Amino acid sequence: MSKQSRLLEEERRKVNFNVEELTNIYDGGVEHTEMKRKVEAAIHNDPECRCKDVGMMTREERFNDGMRRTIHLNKVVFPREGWNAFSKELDYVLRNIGKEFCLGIHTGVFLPCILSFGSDEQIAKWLALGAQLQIIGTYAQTELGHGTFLRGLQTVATYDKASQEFIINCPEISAMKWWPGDMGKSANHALVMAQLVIDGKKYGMHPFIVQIRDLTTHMPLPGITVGDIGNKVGFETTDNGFLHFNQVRIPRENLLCKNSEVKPDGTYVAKTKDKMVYGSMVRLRAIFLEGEVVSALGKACTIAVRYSLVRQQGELEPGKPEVAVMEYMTQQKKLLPYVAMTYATHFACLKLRKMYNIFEQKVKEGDLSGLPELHALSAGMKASVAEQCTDGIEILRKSCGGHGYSNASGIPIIWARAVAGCTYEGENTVMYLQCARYLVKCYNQVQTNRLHGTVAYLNNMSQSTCRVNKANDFQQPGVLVACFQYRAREVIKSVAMKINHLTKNGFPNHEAWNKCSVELVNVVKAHITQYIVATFASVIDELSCSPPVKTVLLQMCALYALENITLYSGDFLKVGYLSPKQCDLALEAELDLLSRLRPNAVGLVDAFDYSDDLLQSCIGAYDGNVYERLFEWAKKSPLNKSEVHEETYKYLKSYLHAGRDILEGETKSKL
Amino acid sequence: MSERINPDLQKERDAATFDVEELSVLLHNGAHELEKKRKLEELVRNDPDYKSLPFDFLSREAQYEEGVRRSTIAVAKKDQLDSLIENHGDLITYNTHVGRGRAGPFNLHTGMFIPTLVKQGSPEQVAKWLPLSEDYEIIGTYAQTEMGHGTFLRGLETTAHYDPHTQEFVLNSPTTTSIKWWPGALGKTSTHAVVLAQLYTLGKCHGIHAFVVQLRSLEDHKSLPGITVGDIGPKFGYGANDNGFLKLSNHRIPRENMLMKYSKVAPDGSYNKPPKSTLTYGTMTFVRAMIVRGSAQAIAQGATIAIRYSAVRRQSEMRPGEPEPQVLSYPTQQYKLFPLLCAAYAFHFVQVKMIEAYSEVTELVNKGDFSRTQELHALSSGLKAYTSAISNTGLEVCRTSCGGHGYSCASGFPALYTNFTPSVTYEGENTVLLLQCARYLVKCTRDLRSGAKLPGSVAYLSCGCDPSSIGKDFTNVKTLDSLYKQRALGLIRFASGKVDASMAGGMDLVGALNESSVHLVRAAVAHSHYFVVRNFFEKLSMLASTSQPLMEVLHQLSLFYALDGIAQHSGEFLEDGLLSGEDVKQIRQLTVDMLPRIRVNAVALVDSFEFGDDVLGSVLGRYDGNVYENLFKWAQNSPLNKTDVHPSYHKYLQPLLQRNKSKL
Repeated sequence: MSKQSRLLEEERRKVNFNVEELTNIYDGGVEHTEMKRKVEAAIHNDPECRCKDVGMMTREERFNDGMRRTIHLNKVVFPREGWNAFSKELDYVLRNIGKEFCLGIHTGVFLPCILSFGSDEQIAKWLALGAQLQIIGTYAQTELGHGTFLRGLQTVATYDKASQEFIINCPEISAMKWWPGDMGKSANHALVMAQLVIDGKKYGMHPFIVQIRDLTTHMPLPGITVGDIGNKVGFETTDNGFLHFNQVRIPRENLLCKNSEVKPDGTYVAKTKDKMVYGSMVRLRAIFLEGEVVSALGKACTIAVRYSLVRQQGELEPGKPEVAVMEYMTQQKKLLPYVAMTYATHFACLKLRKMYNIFEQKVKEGDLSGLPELHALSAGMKASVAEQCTDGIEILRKSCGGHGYSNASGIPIIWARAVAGCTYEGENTVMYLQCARYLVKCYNQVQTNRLHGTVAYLNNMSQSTCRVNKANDFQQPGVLVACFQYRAREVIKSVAMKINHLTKNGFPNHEAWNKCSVELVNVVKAHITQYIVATFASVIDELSCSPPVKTVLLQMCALYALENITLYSGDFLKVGYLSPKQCDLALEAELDLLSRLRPNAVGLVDAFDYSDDLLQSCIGAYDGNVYERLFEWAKKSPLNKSEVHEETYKYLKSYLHAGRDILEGETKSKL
Repeated sequence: MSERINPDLQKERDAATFDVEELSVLLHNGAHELEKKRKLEELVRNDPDYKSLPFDFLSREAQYEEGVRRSTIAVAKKDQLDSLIENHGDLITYNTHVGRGRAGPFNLHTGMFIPTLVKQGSPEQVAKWLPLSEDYEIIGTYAQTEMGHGTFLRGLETTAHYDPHTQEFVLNSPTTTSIKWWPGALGKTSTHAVVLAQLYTLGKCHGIHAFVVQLRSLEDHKSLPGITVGDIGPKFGYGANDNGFLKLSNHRIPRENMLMKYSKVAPDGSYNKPPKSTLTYGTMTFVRAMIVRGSAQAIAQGATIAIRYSAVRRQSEMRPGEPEPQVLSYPTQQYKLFPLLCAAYAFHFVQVKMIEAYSEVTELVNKGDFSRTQELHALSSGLKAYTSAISNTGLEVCRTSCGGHGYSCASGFPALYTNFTPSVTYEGENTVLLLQCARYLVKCTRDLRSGAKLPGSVAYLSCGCDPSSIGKDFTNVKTLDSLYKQRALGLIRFASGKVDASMAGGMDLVGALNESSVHLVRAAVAHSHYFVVRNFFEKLSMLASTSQPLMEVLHQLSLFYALDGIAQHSGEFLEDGLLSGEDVKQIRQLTVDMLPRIRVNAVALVDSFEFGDDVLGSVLGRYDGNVYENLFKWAQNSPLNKTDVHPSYHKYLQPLLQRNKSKL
């Protein structure tokens, strides 16, 4: 056993709580852990779909291999295991197959959208085909020139009464569909969002099903230009595509008509607007945040913490042996707050999903009143959590020093995918401002109405200050939650008052809003951090578990909160809730916590339960055998296929032979 | 392709209040230098030998091949450039354009191998190796870092045992962790390396020394017996570089291959100590100064792409019913980008200062005066860490400010970021460097107590702490200078107070430093930040012949940089009682109020950096702003588009799709 493996083993002996118990809590119950492991085993034991190292592969190799795996999963694994698109196991399938798969938009967006937008007959026709992978679809909304701002989209669908067809067209280059996943090479159908025009009148964005490739040859149909948009930071297995329409005709029936219909004579019939579209966005955001962002942070934490426990560098005491880099306070301050962030944001995502489930129940009873709150919360969470977590992954990568930069660490690949979350599904700044709109509205109501749910803390507007006078008090969740609530409501109050002031002085609403938008982003960050801290504290409070696990979770909660106080001390001081002295105490409390958490560090990341298959990291594997793994990995580099790299040696040869002649001439003359 | 400039971008350029050419000349150190740079760029741009697919579409292996191809062509063309190349800097400019801003496989040869030979080799060694190296008849690298050790030099494990019988050194990698790991061009390109190893002679270890080791045969390029060498595999970036591993097994080299300008091993094995141990300092400090320059350039490139694209991109409605505004018109977008634009200027002036300081101190050292080496070392450590960290996160801010398109390699950001980000971990990991800087600051505060006079960059440490003396006119340069000075003083004194307290409680210095390391890092950041702010003001005050309109703009940038820095770190200013909550609100408002004035010149300010489209490698940041048609053109190159129907279709999809064709 290598020295590094022994070090990690010793670390695990120091852990003072039951790791398995914490895993069960993290997963949401022991039965979930069991199901997760069952799925994990089924995938791990099938060599055709087991996760593998992709660090050496080209974009195209990864695309090909992703497609192979996806088809195997659908054709062989699902029937064998008795899983389908609706079974409970699906969440765990997504978790355990890793990120190297294709057709994610087909199953994750195209099919659900047919359900949301289609009439019963349309659903019967298209969903059946799609579910069996007899057609492959994409969701084509974003264009080259427009993304988040839906109304700006330029693709047009003009109704032609004579033929009872729609003519889909891109009037200029910026109208070309750009970015949709699975669109470049895989899909033969697209759900296209286009401006509906009848008799010269515009009716806004509508969803159309358009066949884009021939069903036999897979060649693009006439009038269609389609292809891959080229390499990106990550998402190598996804063929994000471009799609250009030149007067493409589709039958009238291909307008998905649950919400609105066009009669053969061109009459436009609007049906009731379906707000559940927004509802399903909330659900998607919760799933996306956990699956794409928080889990990525958890994996990066696992790698960085394990590596920091076996990497030895420098002397703490002159003459003594070198110490693990984790012994350095600065390293603890870099890593452990992100472990805490993983726990904090994970529980916040679980909570968001629970809130959505309750909301869905109420919708069935006809009660849609919870939608604005839920929508605002999920938008704010999306932006704030995606930003915090992906920033964290990069900090963790850098905390691994040079080796973090190698694909062998696994972190570059994890980051490259997760970071897309900051710009897709709603650009972050736009998301922040959507949430801010709701918060300002709530603030303006608080004088007349009592607020409930996630904004109830705004009801209390009395002035106060924090009473803490020793560092230890900052370990109490109640004290911390109060800090964050006070800060959030004060920053909301201050911007809301400024907006009101501006509008009273004659500024139109949109101008006042735009003038304050910089501060509004900060308001949402304050609100969401408050929500995460409060949620974490209440989750722990309701938990029945062993005292050591409870202690360590309370420490995680306090660490997440204290790190945010130290980072944003300006806010807490400015609103007058904390004094400079108390800010010092908060930092002291945080440093003290780090030392106490240090012995449990490996247990805290082991509890996330990411297998070596999922981490694909030479430096973060469970056994800590970092260096031998690195060496074995490097030997597989494509440049090492031959001892001399012939393709480049041909450029060097003539120079080096001149060197040989000089040096050998010298040796000969010496002889 | 249309030659026209995107009208939105042209409008921005027309609105600028200063002369772009004047600023370009200033930024490039005079009209002569600027002219030369333009000619060199032109030369590369028009040379058909340097045409190729965008690097983004090449596999790792193809990137490496293309890197070697370009670099060797550049070597062959060196003679044709003689009239243009006046100094080493010009050659770097040329090579940067050849490599399209990416580190090529000869960087370590010219940047580390040759300088080490020159600085550490004896005259005979230099006479032997230098001509060969300069003509690329051998290609060298610098092998210091090992798998298990980087920043901590004394921990290196590679050994060189002297054998007096054969007058050879026997080199070994005794453990897996001792395998040399990371050196650029070590894997496949280099024939030689300067290897750092623990020297043993006559049974005694004398610490780290440098040895010239031949790795590969000059006949057929095969690795020599006792040498296991190869590429360490793909990384985040640096695809064109074969960072390598090297395992030595009883590999023998002649005694003459130890670099012996200072330390010497005589044929009988007796060891001769160097007179001064700080002699290698210079190289490290210089490399750090170069990283400060790199940080300034990286953030300037990021700002160029993001600001041009934000001027071209239109999105949403600000006022109901009106046309979509340019993204650059949103205050949130300005607030993301302008602090970074200002940082690019602040960093430009600080890298100039850093290189001046390096030259001054080198001159002193050459006269035998070592009095300022420690200061310079601390300054370069602090600035390297500070500027690279800001540019690193700043690049990601620029990328995400471009929305979805920033995520595509077409934006240029993925390559820019992944190639820049190692700056925060290599040549001294940032946290370690901040702690080195802080350690010096702690030492200075102690020296003060014994009445010492402190040199330039730390002289202010002797000032008194007096928050009440700071004025309230936050647009006054003196006020801002005092604020930053007092913040740095406060944090440095707080941190060194903690260290003193721990030691008074019986802890040794090293333990005390570790216990307070989080505070020390904050102190070093505040010190470096202050230096950047102060230098920005100072450099502007020294500009003599600059026109009034340009001075106004530069002054605005320096003010915004300083004010925004306070808003970002308001906690530290509030905690020390330097500012009240009301003051911070006022300062934040001042920065927001300045945004529209900076916006007028934003495009012109990035144009002045004059990064050619080839170096930016960005469709979004093109000078002509013709973003959309070129995105489409760029995408055609995707490897997946080689055929209309991708081969994976026939292999995997077709059997699925056509199971039940009759249904449609």
